[in-house]
Amino acid sequence: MTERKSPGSLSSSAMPGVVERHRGEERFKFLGLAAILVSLSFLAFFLVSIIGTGYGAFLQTALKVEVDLTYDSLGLVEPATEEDIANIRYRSIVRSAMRDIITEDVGRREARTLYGMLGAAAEFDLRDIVVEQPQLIGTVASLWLTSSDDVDLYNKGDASEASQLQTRLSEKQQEWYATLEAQGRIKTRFNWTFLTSSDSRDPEVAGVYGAMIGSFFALGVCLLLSCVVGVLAAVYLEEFAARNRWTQFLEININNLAAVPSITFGLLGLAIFLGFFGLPRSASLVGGMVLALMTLPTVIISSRVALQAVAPSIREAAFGIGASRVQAVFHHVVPLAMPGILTGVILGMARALGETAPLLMIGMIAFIADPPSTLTQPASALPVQVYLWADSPERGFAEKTAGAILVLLVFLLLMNLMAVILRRKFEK
Amino acid sequence: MLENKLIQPLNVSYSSDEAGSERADEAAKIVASGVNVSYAGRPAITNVNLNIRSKAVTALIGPSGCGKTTFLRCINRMNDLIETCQVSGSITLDNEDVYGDDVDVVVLRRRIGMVFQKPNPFPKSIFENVAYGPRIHGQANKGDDLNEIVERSLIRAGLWDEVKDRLDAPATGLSGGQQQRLCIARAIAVEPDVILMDEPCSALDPIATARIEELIDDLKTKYTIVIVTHSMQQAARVSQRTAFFHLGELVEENEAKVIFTNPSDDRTRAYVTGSIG
Ligand SMILES: Nc1ncnc2c1ncn2[C@@H]1O[C@H](COP(=O)(O)OP(=O)(O)OP(=O)(O)O)[C@@H](O)[C@H]1O
Ligand SMILES: [Mg+2]
Repeated sequence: MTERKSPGSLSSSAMPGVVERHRGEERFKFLGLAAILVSLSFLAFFLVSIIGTGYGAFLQTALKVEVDLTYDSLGLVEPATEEDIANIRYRSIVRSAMRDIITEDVGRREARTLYGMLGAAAEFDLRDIVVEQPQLIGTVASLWLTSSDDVDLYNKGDASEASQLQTRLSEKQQEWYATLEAQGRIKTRFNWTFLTSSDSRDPEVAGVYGAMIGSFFALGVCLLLSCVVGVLAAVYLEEFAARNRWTQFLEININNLAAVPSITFGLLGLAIFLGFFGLPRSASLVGGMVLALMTLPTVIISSRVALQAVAPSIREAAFGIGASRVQAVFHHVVPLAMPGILTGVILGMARALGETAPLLMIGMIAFIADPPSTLTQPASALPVQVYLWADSPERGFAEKTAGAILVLLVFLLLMNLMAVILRRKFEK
Repeated sequence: MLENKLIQPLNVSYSSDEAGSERADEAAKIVASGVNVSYAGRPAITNVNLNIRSKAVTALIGPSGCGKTTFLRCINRMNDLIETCQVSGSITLDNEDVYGDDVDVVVLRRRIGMVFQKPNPFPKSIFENVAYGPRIHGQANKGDDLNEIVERSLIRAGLWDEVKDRLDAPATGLSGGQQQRLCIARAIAVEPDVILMDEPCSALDPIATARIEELIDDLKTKYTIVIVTHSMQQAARVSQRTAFFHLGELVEENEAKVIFTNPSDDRTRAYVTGSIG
């Protein structure tokens, strides 16, 4: 290779301004990359903190106790009927089981704090176990029962000084805890209760099941309404309506509605569905209707975009062999627009799933301890549950809040995944 | 032979043999009189008077933007779909006004089929493409009848041998020329009287073009064909009558041979010899 003295006529320096142009390109690339990194780091921070707080909601602490279920101590005669089982006084059985482990002499006050280590959840646990396995009656069974919320937090918290000081366990309870731990009577297990029970005043028995069912009902109603009404409206506006002032006016209004704060739709729902039509408060039916109002503009807009994207040549082909408008639209245009329409609908649903404000307006904020079994029963919803728990003073609800957010995130992820899969399927 | 035709544009054999001036007095299939079309108030074609002969090929030629497509789309009222488009004057099909009050465009378009510039098969199977028209018009509902119509149409369009083993394959997988023949099969499956073709070969190579020209030649025994083309050679080869449009006017319409060899208007002469356009 010969050493070149002057740069060739094709190098950047041969043309004025080119070097500066390349530099501009570099700058833009760098800024773009920085923007992506910043947003990714926010996302990572959010996920880490939510998962860090929320994973605890899926774990619970259990204590192993020997419960005396002999006929003598239950005061029953063989064989025990179902009624007998229902009438067993589980609280006192759990309490005496605790007394059997901690044998030291304690006064009445102290005894109560001892019983407090196994809370209401333990009684429910025991009842469920006995109902499921009646053969345990007549024996002394060694069972794992859910600990109280305070013990649970004490167990899950790290052993650092700070968290020891913050704990609500008394000195005496901490001593007992150490004893139990030394005997191998404490373990951490998966918290099914969180996924199978509904809201409760006690953090250790509170779960998201009721809210999940409420959300499911509301979303079902919302999906039905916004799919049918939204897609039909979009098809009409795009394929049938004449382009005139009136449709332009409609179009502007729909675009505006898509940007209206969601709480406004709640107020609208309150006035119309509850005030005018007299539908029940807090019902998932009304919740779904309000969410449908909110998602309709989005569904209409995205469906129209999908319809517009269908090549005009397909319409011409259909019209050219004498298809009527309805035939051209429903045989050819809508099927081709389906992936786009579905994506819009599912993204609208995902937004509806995470929406709280409009639901608050129609009373879905009430404390509801049972999952709804019909559309008109009072119900809660996942984001509302998050809001309620975030507001609770008990420390046990902090991790429940994050746990509920995680459940919500998983649902959102599943819905978006479904959107992708459906789109793939229809594009084939 | 084919190359020859392409290289020496006007040295072609005119297909005026059986449908020339001898049949000039024969009743016209389509009569356009005083047709004006404007898009959003801007005139596109003005005062077009044209008789289109039955069972013959009429070619529309002229420079880009002169209104050939616009005129063609007036005949089967495809212009109705463009909201800014205003049509006045009259067009009759078998002496019946196409723009009459009681005309149903569905019926009209079944009788006047159309083949577009770019092949536009439905993104469905080959069979479905051809069967769609007969099905919506209720020509055949039973499987066997429908199969027969599809087979007959594909044979007429000269595509049967190439696709008979894969009727269920997606039509979009065919080559451009095959797709265009499929579109022709789709058009003739509903048994129209007239077929309008808007530059049907503009996206095709010479061999595919030659096949479609053969097909057009064959189809004219049964159908009235109006074809828009930018290729003077093609117009000369396939048409019996040729109409020359210029700046929205119909300048001249005559036997193809006359238009290409001895046109009466200077603009036509300039266009066919290649000095304007
Ligand atoms: N949809 C439309 N909206 C507005 N103007 C149009 C529309 N279609 C055609 N025009 C105008 O009408 C005139 C005639 O167009 P047309 O498409 O009929 O020409 P053409 O002869 O088919 O041209 P080409 O040979 O390029 O296809 C042109 O000036 C064109 O700009
Ligand atoms: Mg054209």
